[in-house]
Amino acid sequence: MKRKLLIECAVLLTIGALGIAGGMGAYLRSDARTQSSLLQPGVYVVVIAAVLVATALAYGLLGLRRAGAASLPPPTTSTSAEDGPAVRLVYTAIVLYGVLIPVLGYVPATLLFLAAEFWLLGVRSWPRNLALTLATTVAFYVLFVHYGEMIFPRGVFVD
Amino acid sequence: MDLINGLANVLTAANLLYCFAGALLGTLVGVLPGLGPASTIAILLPITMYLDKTGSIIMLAGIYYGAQYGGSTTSILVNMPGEVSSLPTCFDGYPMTKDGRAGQALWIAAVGSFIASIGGVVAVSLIGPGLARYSLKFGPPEYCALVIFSLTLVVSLSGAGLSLLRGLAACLLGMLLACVGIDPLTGVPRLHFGFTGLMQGLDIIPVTVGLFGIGEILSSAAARTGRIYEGKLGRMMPRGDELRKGLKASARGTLVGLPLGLLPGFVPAVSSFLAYDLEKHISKHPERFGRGAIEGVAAPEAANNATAQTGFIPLFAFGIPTSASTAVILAALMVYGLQPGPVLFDANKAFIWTVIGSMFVGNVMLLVLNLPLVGLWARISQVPYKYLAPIVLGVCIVGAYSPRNSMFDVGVAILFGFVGFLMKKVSWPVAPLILGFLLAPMLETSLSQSLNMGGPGVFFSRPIAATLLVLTVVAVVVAARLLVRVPPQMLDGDDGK
Repeated sequence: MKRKLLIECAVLLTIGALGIAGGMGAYLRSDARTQSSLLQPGVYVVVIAAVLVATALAYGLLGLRRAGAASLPPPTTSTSAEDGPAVRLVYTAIVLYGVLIPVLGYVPATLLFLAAEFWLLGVRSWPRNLALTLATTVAFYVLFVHYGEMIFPRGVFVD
Repeated sequence: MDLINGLANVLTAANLLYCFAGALLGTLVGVLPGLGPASTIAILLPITMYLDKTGSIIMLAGIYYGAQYGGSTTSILVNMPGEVSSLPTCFDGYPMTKDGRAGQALWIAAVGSFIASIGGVVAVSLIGPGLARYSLKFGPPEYCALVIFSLTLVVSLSGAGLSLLRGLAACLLGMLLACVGIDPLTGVPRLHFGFTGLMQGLDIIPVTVGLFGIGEILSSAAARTGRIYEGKLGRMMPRGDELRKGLKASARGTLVGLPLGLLPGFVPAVSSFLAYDLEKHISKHPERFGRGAIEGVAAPEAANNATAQTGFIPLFAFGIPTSASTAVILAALMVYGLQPGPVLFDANKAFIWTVIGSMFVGNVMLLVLNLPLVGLWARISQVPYKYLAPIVLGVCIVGAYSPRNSMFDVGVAILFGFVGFLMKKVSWPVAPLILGFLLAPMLETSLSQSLNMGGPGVFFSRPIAATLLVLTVVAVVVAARLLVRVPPQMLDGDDGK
């Protein structure tokens, strides 16, 4: 529980610090002579980020004080511990899909993605998997490319 | 007169189709555990950009209020709430099923939802335009105070202690993310860290698609299906004393839900629990609750529908969303270039009254969909996730890509999908993040304009702004007192659900 709390705090503090740095950068880059607003560029960002840092510190301190006690609400997750690898694989397939669309083109990448996702999520019969993959890809093509007239990347081999 | 014109506009084939699609999809996501109205609206929002704007909003609104109907079906039949807002319905709905009174529980849930929804739409029709006209008195200080009021209430409803700090941090995170890109007041680029993609800012659609769509699917990917209800529904309509008790509880639930819908953070899940709690308190036989009391089904179902419906009042009148779902609907209004407030009721009269009119028609459709077809919905709720999830994920990617034809936005959606999944896994609320993201630009602009009008003192020299700031403090105290009665898991009930 302590480890989880420290990770949460570290993430918030990092984002807060990035916010302060980004806000300060915007403030320093701006030309004061062109600014008429009392809310100078970057000030709003710095204030939000500073409050986030303060909140992260308060969260960490309060959490550490309560660590080990029953006051920490138990995580309410939809996935159990053993589902972790499955979720990781499902997410990896989504990331790969995002990478493959510009490389292979929308339709081939979608075929691979859907086949992988159906398999990962439990459609282990290959004929059924292929039928679902083909039907869904054709439906997506007709709906989004044909009727929706969306222009997707066609892949490096075509372009 | 405007409402009659609006109702007449709804009765065209195209609008009726959009309305039916919204009611159908809403009921579907209501019965499917894991997929909620906010995620469905977020997933469909980019696709609706290719449709007629009035029809799209009719459909998206229908999904939101339709989901409140559908959530009760699985609560009653298989003790598995389709939506968090239907969790209290399980307490007495499932015992009624075990008692052979499933039909009566479903009947009172649908009729109670209908009564409450119609009450809610009447409130939208009566209060909405007046409140929108009143908002003409709002200048930058008033809008700034209103945003502070809304954000404070949303954060304070995250819970107490660590939960409260989580809500605050999530809200600040959303506000910070909204700052990425170009400063709207000075044109200075900020928080881009050298990435040109970030200079155009984060678009609301990939962020919501990621947080609610992909995040939700990842969280539910491993969900197992429950067993299909094979028993008989029994007589549908309750009779005599049971009918009277059910209808009275529906009326009370409606009265609890109506005002709560106006307040940011009071998601339908909270009002349904408060209505259940009230029924138990005023009952002469509180020991009947949890054993199949019809009031325990009628009141929470009426309350969550009333809250969902009146949530449209602050959305249409001020552009203030009260929940994650209405936040995504606000994003849709923004995408279509529709400015909530008096302009919506004056310049876009036909649009707004058609949408309000569609809510009357949509609720009638929902009543028909939810009573005779209840058995079908119970079976559909068992569709395994292994078939649904890949299709929904594919639609999410298209949805993130389509608004700007940008693979950068796809990357943003995938990243926020992981963020949404992690937030759910470690019990961080997503609703404050999305509300902070949506309201931060309004806060920044109105704050800057207010300060230019007369410094910080301007907030206390204008009665409406000062009143809103005082109300912020009062609301925090009242919310803290009400929270004692609500279990913590109900407070995050609209995060995609």
